[in-house]
Amino acid sequence: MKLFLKSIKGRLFLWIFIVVSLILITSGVLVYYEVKNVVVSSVDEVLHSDMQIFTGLLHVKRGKVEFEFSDIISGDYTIPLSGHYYKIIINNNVFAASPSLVDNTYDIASGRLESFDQKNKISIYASKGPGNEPIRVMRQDLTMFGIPVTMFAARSMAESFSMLNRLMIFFIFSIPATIIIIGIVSVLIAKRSLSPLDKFSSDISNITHRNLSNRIETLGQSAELQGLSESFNQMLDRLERAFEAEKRIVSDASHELKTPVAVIRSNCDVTLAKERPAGEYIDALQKIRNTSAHMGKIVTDMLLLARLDSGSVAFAEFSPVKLSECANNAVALVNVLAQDRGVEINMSVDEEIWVNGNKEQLTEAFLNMLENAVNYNKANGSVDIHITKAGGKAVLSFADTGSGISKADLSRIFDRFFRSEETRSKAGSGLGLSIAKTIIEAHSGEIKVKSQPGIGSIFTLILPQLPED
Amino acid sequence: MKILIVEDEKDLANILKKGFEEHSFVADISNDGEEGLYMAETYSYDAIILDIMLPGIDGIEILSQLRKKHIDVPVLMLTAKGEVKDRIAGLEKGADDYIPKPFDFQELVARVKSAIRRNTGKPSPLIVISNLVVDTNTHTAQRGGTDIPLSAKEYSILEYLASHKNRVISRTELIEHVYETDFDLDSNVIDVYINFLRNKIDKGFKNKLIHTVRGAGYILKETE
Repeated sequence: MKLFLKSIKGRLFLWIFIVVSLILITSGVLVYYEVKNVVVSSVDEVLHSDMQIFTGLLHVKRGKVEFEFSDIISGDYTIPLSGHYYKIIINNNVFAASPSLVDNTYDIASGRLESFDQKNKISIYASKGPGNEPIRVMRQDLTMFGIPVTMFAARSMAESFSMLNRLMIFFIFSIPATIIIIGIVSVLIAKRSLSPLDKFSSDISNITHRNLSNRIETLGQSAELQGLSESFNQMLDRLERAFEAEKRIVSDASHELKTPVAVIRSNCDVTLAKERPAGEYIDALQKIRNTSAHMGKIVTDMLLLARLDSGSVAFAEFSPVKLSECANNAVALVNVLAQDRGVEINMSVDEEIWVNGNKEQLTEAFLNMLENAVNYNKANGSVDIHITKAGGKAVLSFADTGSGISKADLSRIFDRFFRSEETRSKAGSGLGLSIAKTIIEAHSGEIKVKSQPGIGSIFTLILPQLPED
Repeated sequence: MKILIVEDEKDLANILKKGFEEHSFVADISNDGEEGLYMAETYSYDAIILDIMLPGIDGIEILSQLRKKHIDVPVLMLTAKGEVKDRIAGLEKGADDYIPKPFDFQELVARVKSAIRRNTGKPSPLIVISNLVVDTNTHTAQRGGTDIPLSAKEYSILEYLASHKNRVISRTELIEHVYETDFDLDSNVIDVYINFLRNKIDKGFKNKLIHTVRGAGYILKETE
């Protein structure tokens, strides 16, 4: 029960139940009293006109008060206990009383005083009639011909009250019945309109990492659920992409690592299979050394990427960094390689630019860009580093005179382990650009690349600059 | 026996070639998928070692193209993808064996030999013709219980003839299976080697096993 009231269904039911009950009970009570009012005031009006008639029937004839006989006071007034009564008292004596009263000394105004009109001296009582029936009595005190006269007119309320009782009984049964019916209907409606939610939730719980390509049916859903399903499907799309990327990276990483292990292992197996001249052992050891160096580079880069992925580039730990300093450090680190390959590195700084970031990681990113620019350059080529501002942002570009990147490869060069046909044979982990990209994006920046095969490539790093103060 | 190694990692392909050659195989190398497929379709190999992750066409695709063209050469998939799912996919496409990297080289050689034997319908590593026994495991031959010393090339030719005993083998076919594809060779070289083999195998025995079929080639068989 507690659980039911916590559910949307339960709450809907509870609210509908409370609201409907309040409305029905209040209106039932209001209707009952309104009807009672109408009935009572119509009886009062009748009593008023009765009273006027009785007053009009009082005459003074030859110095004597007379109650004129009329058709009006015959009929019901003559039938005992008929519910139509009158009584006229003069000088404390019963002057006239309707035969219907049976006993003309019966005090018909013995009941509760309901209202009193001071000006016309009219009082109204709810009383008991001679037949013990409920009656409404009007009493008027007036002075006629110098004599004080008290007149009573009464009518039975038995019929009116029994009608009111019937109305009350009707309400007592019909209101709870209506409440129960509306309650049941509201639970059914809530259940029915919320049933897609159950399906929705079972659909969702059926999706695991194994069937991440499944989607929730959006057609034929109610508008609210359709929106929810669509957002959910979009979330699944993103999850699936991330999951696939992760899977591909693991599979790529296993390929990238297992292949060099196979090279090392096979070199050992083949070389050790028989006695050989010393030169062959040296060749094999060279191969093994180079291959393990390559593996070492891959492992280092993979670990760096994993660290970057796990969010170690924390924005909170950023501090102001001078771009030219990072670039200079990167140039110093790549200088030996550049000299080996006869590649000249030039740097031009339009103005000193500070950014908010991690100095080591920015240097790492620049170093990766520079290593590529040097490694894939032509002999005696050059790399031009340019630091400037554009559109309120720091812009750092690396332009090389290398072989360029084909159009087909351009969209994939930032993919992990991607290596173009041309670069496959050269040393490198296939992770350098991924690392640079991850670092720059963690600094809210972006990397753009333009390339002309045969002429060279320009990599542009755009970073938000630190506001000057 | 001649194999094709399709592997994009040159260092791996080269050491495999060297290792197989030391086991009296002849090996061609291809470093990318398209060339590998072309070579597999064009030349005759006794087995193909096929890497799955290749630039151009991947190994699985090469395999299914070959099988579609009814080229039934034994194919051994060599790959870093060690998941059972991938291995099953490879075997379903018609691979004869699946060897995850890194592997033991001796095991790779053994599996290649076993795949070739299964393909030629000879489950035993020993091929027996009369009283000549060729052991394809140890690359040795005996006749009448006596070891016959053979050079690597002589053994290769003998093994090929023995594997296809009772069938005429042309000089061209022999060259195709015992020399690298781009080896430019006068087919007379085969005649020279056949002569060496005759001297070592048939000399001193009454029933000769190596026969010349005029205009067609050679055949290794028992005379009735």
